Amino acid sequence: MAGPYRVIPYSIDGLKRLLATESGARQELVDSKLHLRYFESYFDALGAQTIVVEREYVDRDFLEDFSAYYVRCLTPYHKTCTRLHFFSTHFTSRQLARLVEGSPTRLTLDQISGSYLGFVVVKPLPQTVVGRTCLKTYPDDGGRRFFPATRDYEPNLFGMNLTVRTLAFQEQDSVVAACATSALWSAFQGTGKVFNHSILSPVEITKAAARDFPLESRAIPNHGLTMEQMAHAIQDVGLEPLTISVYDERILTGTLYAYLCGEIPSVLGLRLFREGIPPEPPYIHIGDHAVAVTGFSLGKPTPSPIEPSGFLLEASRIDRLYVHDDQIGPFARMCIDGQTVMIQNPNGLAISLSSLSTSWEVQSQGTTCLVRAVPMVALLPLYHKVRIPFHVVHEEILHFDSIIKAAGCPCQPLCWDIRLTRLNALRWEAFRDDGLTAPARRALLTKSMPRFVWRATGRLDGITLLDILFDATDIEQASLVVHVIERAPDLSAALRAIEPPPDVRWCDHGWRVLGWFRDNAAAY
Amino acid sequence: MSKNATCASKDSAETVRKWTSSDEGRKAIKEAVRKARESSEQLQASRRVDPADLRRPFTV
Repeated sequence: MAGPYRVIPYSIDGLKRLLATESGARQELVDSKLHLRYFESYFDALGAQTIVVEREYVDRDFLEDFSAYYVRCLTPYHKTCTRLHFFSTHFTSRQLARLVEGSPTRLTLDQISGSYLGFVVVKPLPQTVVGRTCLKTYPDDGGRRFFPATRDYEPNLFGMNLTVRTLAFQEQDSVVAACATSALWSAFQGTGKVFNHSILSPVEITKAAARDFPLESRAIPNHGLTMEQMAHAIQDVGLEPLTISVYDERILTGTLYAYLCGEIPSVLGLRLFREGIPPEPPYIHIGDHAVAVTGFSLGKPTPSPIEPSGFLLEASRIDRLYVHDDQIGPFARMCIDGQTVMIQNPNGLAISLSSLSTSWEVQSQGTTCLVRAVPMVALLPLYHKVRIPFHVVHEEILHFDSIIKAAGCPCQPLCWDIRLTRLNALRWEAFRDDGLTAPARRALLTKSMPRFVWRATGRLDGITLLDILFDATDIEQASLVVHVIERAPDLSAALRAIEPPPDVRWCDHGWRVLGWFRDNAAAY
Repeated sequence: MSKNATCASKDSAETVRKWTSSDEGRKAIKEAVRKARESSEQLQASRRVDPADLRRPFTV
């Protein structure tokens, strides 16, 4: 009889065998999963050495799904799972046994916790076996990769408290959850911590999404949700859904960056196209898919200007998105490589759509075809007090930037980094910032400000010159600017010297920001 | 703030004040605002969600 745990050296073949034996799925089915190909390169990048197999693990999310559906099936599915823990150090079963028993061994708790890479829960199902997965993110590669929406997960392995900073992932089971449910479940893992809402299990998300749409399709077994249904699930946890069309790459990168930096993952709706095989058209639509956006890479050396104004946004340096794609794995890459997909719209006109590369492959006529994704809609789960959307601040800064460039202010052109932030995080950063003068620190740390703030940072050659803070909880017609952290006296003096035209309206875009400089003396 | 930095601030501020008070400066700002509005309107149109996209089921 199998014991409560096993320790085996890591190898991709060993992992494949474990997934099959612990779930009861057929080996050839497990071998054919795209997840395994993804795990192979991911665990190589993380340097996995050892797997600890923890049996009879009770996973809360699977237990909810089990009690809502699987328990009533004639086939006797198990209610417990197996949890696989991964470590980047080598140790044996005997060494772990001695550590657990408190007997002398060379293996230490520090070695175990220091080399912990995370875990994968194996579900006892015939096909969709990858359950809750919490794996360390890719290394930041010298400040290129960012995963701002991650949080600490603290599994306990035989009394040892371990920590992994990540965002949970799981494969859709195609019964109680489709891709949209899995994407939303991952997004809630992040927003649940930031906004303190309950984190629903997959079956609870599907039920909440389908509750008001009884005629759309059956809730369970579930074959997919619409954005409208996902928006209902978001409201069910007490958040407000915000949808934005993201066919335009500039909007895609700017929006995802701004909210992700505020620790809010988004659900991205994609249209998937496989390469056509002649005489087929170049791209064939194979369906629509949803993923959770969890990170990005700032891989482009310089930002791309938004014409005709020449506005520079830091987010335009994004060359890759990292997404939790339930068909591929956690932090899967989607590259912004400038390629477009040509399709015909319903009126028969050819249109070109910006697209992303994916790790997907599909078989057609015996040929393996690559798949491209066209980003369609981003859905953001927001706390109700985050009322001012990103585009309002973007528009304000775009106009402000154009005015100050035309006014001949020094230190131009600025590159703008616009992101949502929480006041506590902003103040904690300022408290540790040696570059701020005493008056600037005092003004920022003691002033009454809202809990959520939009922060627009202006930089020249990577050096921060000013931070303009907007009240994210206000109404759009208000002045919005609550404070400016000024770091460049030359620029600040020039901003205060701009003579407004005689017909200026201080409520117009751009002038609202300059109005703050008119009304407030410099604090540096 | 050093004395030199203060002087530099005064110089560039004075230049900005003169330029933005002049007719050419005002024209330049007006043209910049026009371009900003154009960029902004393009983005605004692209940001609008097609209601059909909200009712498309994600099934893959």
